[in-house]
Amino acid sequence: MKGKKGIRWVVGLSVLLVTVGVTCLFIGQESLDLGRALDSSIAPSENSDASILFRLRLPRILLAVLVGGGLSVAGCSFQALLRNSLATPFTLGVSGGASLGAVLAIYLGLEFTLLGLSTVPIFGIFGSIFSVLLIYMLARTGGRLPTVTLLLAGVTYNFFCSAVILFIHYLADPGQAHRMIYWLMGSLDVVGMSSVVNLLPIVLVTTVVLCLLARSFNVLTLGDDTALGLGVNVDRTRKISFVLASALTGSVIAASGPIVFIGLIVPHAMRLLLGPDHRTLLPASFLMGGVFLILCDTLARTMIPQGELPVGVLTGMCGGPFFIWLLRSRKREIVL
Amino acid sequence: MSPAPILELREASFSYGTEVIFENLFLSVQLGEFHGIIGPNGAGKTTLLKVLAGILEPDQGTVSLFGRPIRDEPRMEVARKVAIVPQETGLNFGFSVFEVVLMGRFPHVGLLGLETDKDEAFAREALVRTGTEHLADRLFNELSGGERQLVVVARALAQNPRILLLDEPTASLDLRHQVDISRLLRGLCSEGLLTAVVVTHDVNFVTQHCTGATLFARGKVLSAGAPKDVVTPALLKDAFGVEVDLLVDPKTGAPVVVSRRAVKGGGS
Repeated sequence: MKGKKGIRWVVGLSVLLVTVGVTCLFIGQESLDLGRALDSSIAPSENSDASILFRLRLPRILLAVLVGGGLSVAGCSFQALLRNSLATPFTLGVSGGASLGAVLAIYLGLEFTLLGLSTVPIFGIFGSIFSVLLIYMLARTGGRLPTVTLLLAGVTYNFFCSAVILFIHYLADPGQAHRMIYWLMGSLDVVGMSSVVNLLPIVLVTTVVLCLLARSFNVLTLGDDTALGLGVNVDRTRKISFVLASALTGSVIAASGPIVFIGLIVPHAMRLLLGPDHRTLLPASFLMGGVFLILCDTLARTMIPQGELPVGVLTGMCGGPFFIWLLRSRKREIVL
Repeated sequence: MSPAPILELREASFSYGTEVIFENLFLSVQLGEFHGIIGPNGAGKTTLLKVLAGILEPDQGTVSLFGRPIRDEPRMEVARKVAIVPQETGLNFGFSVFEVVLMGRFPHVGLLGLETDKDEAFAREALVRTGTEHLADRLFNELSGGERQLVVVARALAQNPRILLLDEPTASLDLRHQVDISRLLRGLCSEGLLTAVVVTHDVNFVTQHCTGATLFARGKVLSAGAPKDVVTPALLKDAFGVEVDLLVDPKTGAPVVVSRRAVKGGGS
């Protein structure tokens, strides 16, 4: 019975995601004529409608699904692994590390490609994985991982990264500095499909594996000893999931910039709606993360005439108040 | 005399870094036994229980489950035979009582499986046995400490283990819940459905309910056998550093320990 309810939610959210995605293809500052866009008798170079549809809006919406979904799944996994509702890519220092990596890549002007990825994403991914390992080791004392220490270490590390980013920004020339600021605000402003194609495999693989671990996540919420007693290989599960969720966060942030708070808001909202069973929660968070980011991004690119707001600004403005509300409504649970 | 033990510790040593918890320890539990391991606070009882459960591996020596070294068996395999009830179970997420109990089916369902009607039936049965079926739809983290402990026992029973290991199971329970839990465990053991091992500092719990006992202090087994033989004033003074008198329960003849005064420099 429970399983059926979960499946209904996942199917429903999939339908919602497709509906929202298709609808938002036709919302924008330039009006779009679908008939003209699909008319193959017009030469591609002459067909501005096809260009807007296939080179601007479609990649953007697909990227929003991967980024929003990926950040939500990563946030949800971190919360399960650390048994704490405040654990997110942001509070764990992952986004700070990824940003520092990306800014460093811009400053050093390194240009090479690895597995189809350019330097900024590569540095972002390594920055995030390095940060998680560092924070994990810093907060681990005597075989235990006190969550409060972990979160404080993560937040502090984020501040440290911000300071170093400002320092690099100060040293950089104006062109680099502009690129850094634009990147740090977080944006889905892409042209063509290459970002989507680069991001798809890693988001797909990490999300699927994390969803397959959902039953272990459920048992882990009861504590390490109980999970061990139920046959879960706690150490291995936690290490694998940490690396996967960090790689997911890093590669997503590298493609879009640090779009914060999605990894916090979406899993929480879904947990309130669906309950804590990760078998439903993880796929539902992915779908809802996609819906949420498509909507935010559509708003960001249409609300200012002739201009465009970086979507990270919007998600941050929604997420900040939500985080405060969460802190207040759950304050009795957060024992420092 | 006695058949091969179902759970056995041989020449086992365990330490956290330089802090030795126990050395060269022998312990054996027979099929159907309700075994109490008594020891003072900080003696390492919880560590000992985790070693028996195969969660911690001893530095030296072996733990055998049905005559086979526990470390040679996959964790899932062990989890189908041994369930553990920790002293505290905290939960930050809003799982219902039924969902928590159903998690006990994890080792039977496997990593990727879905619970079947049979698994749900096991969970319901465990709720009924522990008298918690009225709590099924409540949120686990909203229960009182005593209710929570009963639900964790139900979760362990849903695991359908041959051996149940419990860490201070009655510490947070009032008299009524203590009686319910001990009667349940004693019943299951005497029917041969279960072998239970309890670690506790509550000497009277062991004398009243257990069929076998081990006195564990300062990393050593001071004595083992029938509870009435293990619970002597001299041994208890050695283990706890307290002068005790033994009374006799007029109904069962079981010894009842009354502590009188602390012994200077005694205990562990």
